[in-house]
Amino acid sequence: MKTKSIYKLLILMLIFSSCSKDDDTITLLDVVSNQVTNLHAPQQGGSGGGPPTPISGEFTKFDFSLGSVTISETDWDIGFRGTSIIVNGGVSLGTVDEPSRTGNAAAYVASGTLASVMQVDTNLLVQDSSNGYAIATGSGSGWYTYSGPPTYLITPTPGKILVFKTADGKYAKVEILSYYKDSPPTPDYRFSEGRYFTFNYVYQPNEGVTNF
Amino acid sequence: MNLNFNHISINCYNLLIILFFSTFFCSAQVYNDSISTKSLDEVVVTGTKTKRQLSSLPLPAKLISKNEIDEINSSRLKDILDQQTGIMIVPDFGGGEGIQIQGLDSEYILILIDGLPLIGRQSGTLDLNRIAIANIEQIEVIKGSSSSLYGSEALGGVVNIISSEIKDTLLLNIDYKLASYNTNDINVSTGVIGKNGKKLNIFFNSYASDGYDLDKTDNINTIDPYNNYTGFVKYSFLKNNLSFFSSARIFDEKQSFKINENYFGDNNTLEWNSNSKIGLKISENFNIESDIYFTSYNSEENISSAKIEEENYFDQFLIKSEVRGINDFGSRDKLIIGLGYIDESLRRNDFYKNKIKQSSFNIFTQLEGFLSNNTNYIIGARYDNYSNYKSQISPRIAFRTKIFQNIFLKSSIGKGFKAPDFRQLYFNFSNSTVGYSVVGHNVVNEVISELTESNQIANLIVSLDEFNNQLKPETSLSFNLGLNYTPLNELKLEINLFRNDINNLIDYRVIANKINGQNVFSYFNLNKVYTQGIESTFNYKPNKKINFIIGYQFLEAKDKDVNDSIKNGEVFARESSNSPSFIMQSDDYFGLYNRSKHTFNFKIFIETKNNLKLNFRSKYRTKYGLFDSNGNDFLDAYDEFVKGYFDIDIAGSKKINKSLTINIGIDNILDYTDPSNITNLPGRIVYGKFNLKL
Repeated sequence: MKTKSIYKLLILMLIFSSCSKDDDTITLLDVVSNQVTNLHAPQQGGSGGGPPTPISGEFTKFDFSLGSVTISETDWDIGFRGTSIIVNGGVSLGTVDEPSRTGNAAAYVASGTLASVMQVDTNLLVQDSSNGYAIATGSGSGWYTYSGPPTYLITPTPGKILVFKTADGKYAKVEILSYYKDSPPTPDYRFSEGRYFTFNYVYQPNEGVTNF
Repeated sequence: MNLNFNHISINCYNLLIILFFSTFFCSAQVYNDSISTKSLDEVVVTGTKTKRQLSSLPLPAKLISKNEIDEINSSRLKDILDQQTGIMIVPDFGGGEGIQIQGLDSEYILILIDGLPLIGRQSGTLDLNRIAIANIEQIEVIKGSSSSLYGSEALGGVVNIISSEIKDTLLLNIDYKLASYNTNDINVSTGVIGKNGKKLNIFFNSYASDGYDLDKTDNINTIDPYNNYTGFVKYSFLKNNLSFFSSARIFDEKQSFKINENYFGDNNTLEWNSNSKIGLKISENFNIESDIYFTSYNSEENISSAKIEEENYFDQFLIKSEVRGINDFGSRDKLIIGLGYIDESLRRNDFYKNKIKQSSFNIFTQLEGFLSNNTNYIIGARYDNYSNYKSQISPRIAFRTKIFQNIFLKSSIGKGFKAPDFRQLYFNFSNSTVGYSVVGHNVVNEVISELTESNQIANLIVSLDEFNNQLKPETSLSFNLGLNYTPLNELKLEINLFRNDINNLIDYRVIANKINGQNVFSYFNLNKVYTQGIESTFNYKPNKKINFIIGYQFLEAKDKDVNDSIKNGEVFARESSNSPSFIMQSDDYFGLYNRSKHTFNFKIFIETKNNLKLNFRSKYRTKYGLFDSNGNDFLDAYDEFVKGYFDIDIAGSKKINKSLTINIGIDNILDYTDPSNITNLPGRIVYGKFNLKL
């Protein structure tokens, strides 16, 4: 509740300040604040019974300006496959079925709440590379914590806000809320289906504006 | 190699037994010595390594008597310890049950039999189910660090199990207990007293259980059926100025288990130990004692499925010898100086080296003195020298004084330490299903270069130079302050405040990313934690036939770095695992896992006429958490908790005649279970037992 009113306030402030500055310029577009539910990010191979095989499968791509999943090979910002998140910028890590990067996207992981990350620190932005993704993989290093036994759950690490530069140079921030279908409040590895992302995001559609 | 050795050892062990018998019976002639040294004051040895009155010991100590063990019909060591104030029994994921004292886990508590340590901590926990207790005279528990006398692992406390000794011309003692889950517990003990203080004690235990299943929805058991045997032989004699003591113990356990529909396995554990001690009285005031101890613990596990055959093994061997000089200055002042040597080896799967060896020597001294009848002290220190890591000096000072009529004050402060275990140094494990790796600190360079060569490493997160420094032992500063108040002979009140500050706690963190998206972990000296609390016991014994005991412990155990991060506003939490995060407040931090803030116990023992004895025992622990459920890696108010619960037991016994006693009882009378969280609490258990003394 609290966070929502902060967004509203922020948006109002933005509009207000932009209007008051100069009446002649074009009014800036509203910052978009939205929630994506059950973004399915399947993968083949990897772990799950028996010796691990190379991870494969198409990434599920997301476009912030559309606010939805896309199948475009060029117009996409971020992609999901299992727990891996890629950006449309930089170089492929070279895994099977990984798309080539056509845009200029980048990312970093900030500490804070979605509301408290108000400014993009462009110095921190990195792109995917042949050494690793901009959003680091593995438990505790990127966006999630894997609990291991006995609960075997992937939980988004609290206070990790993913800050993105989109393929066309705009900015967005994302807080992942759940990795399980229909984001259950208390997932159970035996029944909850994984690889379904639910996340809140804020998208700044105005070129070159680094705050939200 | 090791298995062969093992065989040889068992033969040696047989030989020893034969030897004992022969030496004994050669000169056997039942010797009736009416020793009636029934001292009113209880005697313990753990605090000083010599026999000593409990009442004036300046350390937080607890003695559990044979009587109590018998009255509650305990079968294994965990049954009796679980009923004591300030002691928790905690299950681990491997099915073992470990001890927790002053908020410190099993890894930090030394478990001794007749003063010598048990080994076989596969994942740190020493499983208390291994220890049969029908042949035990008493159990001594010293809380807080005792590293000044016992070295590594005694950081949080020492539990010393003193085996019983034949007292009169008793020939045979037989116990049979039948309990729910088809649990059969048979104990046979016998002994003979000969001339010159010759004593032979023999004990045998057989324990078998069908196990139990708390969660009927899955196809696996919570505890699979198992059976085990324990054999114990003890021989001692006294001749002029020479005393000799020797014992041998063997434990063998088998269990078949099912991991899931397709995975099956069986486990076989064989443990033995052998101990010989010689005491020599050099003069009226000066004694020399020397002991040599061998112990071996082997566990083998075979897991099979249609696809995979897997063998896990854990073979540990330890030799320990010690020489002590004890000088008695009269007037109860005593000085002890000791020299010791320990040699240890371990062979287990998932290790970088096939066999790990380590030796260490130590020297210790302790002076115990009385300034007056009402004021006494202990001052001591021990030096442990290790080849693989930093040597340790562990001092301790303790004193006790009368501050008011009937009120005594006790205080002790001591350093404790625990050497890194072999797993933290030499582990080389890759999870075959998920794909992550865990590597011991000492072999990181080797393993990482192997993984790099096989193109498995994406990038290094921690520089390999960091591993040129040795892992440091975990160290603690342990502080206790207690009051003993005895307003009346029948009323006793004990309060103890404790605080343990632990530095260099060893934990793992990510050192590299693998190309499969998983991580490589290794061990570091990372955290600083503390545990603190209050323990109190109220004991009211209006007459010989009634005894009331009320106990309470308050405990707080927290990570100091987490405390600091919260203060700096760097820690976030979620209300549930699908809601947005927010900055956490200090009050939201619950502390370390598996620790209840409050535990209570209440016990009544009543003896009526007609040789009927009844008792009622209850224990309550408040809520605690076993894992983080909202992703921030520690326990906060928004995580899932295990609900607080009561465990209530009742028992009664009736002495039919001089040789036969019948017992019945119900454990966990409320039938409380929590299948996913409390795996070591089966449902209600009903049992019957008879005891035959011939």
